[in-house]
Amino acid sequence: MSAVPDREAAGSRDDDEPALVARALAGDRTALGVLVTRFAAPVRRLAYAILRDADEADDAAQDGVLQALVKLDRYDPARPFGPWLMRIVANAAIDRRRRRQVRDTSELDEGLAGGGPLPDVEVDRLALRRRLAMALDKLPPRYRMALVLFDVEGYSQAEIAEILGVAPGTVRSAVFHARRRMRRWLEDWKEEGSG
Amino acid sequence: MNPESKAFSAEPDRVLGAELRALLDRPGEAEFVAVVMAGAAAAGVGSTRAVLGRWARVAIAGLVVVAVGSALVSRSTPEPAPTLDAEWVAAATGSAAAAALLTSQNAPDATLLYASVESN
Repeated sequence: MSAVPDREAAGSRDDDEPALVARALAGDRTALGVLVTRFAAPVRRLAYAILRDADEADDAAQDGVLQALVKLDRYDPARPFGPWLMRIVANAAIDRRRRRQVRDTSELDEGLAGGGPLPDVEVDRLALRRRLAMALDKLPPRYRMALVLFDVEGYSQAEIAEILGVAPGTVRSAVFHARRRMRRWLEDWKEEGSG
Repeated sequence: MNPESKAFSAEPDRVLGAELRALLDRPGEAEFVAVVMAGAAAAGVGSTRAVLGRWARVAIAGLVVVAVGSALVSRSTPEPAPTLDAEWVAAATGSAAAAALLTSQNAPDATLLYASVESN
């Protein structure tokens, strides 16, 4: 597991994306494939953070990416491509969440569903992940999106403001409160475990 | 995770970020890309038709701009000022009809001729 935000880990270069878009618009399938592959993981994570349902998240992410590709000629190459795409995907996921009843129970992590004895370290890791999932579920959706875009995807406050359609100060506040709540819930859990 | 702080850190919390990424990452990325690429092909993204359609839209928009511009320019063009000849004839004869008749670039019109005779 890498400990760097996704844009650094993937070697994403904002400056080559307008050129990739231009090539994709001109019919270059390879350029289109590079763009889709580069953003596949971030858009799936964002949709999953919003919807907290794996299948629905993939459907929403696919809808969002396709919507973006169909109107690719409206993308302004003077601006970074990532926030433009992430905004469309976030809106697709938010629309989908509005249309469905919010589920009360979170999904059981696939790793937890598997059978067989596990080493203690692995058990601790899975327990932490499950607790993290529960904590994430408790966050208001806007906090959740801001936290994932900032700490996981590595977008700036200004870019997240553009993606979510809010002021940069709102993003700052959302990330601050989301982190504080996550830490508090995780600390409580650790104290319960040790007590 | 970073220790509890009352101040906002403008740097990503890399430990929390890595844990969240592990939580949110799922297998199936290749399938996802394949589905999106198939959808894009079906929607005609980057196809010759889409490229031509885009150029056609640009061309139509250009023609509309040119047409609107031409209309505005022609509307703002002032009426031609009466020539010196016409003013002189009108002053000498006291008849605008005579001035029009004498200074016209076209062949004399019978109605103009009649009007000129009438006014004199």
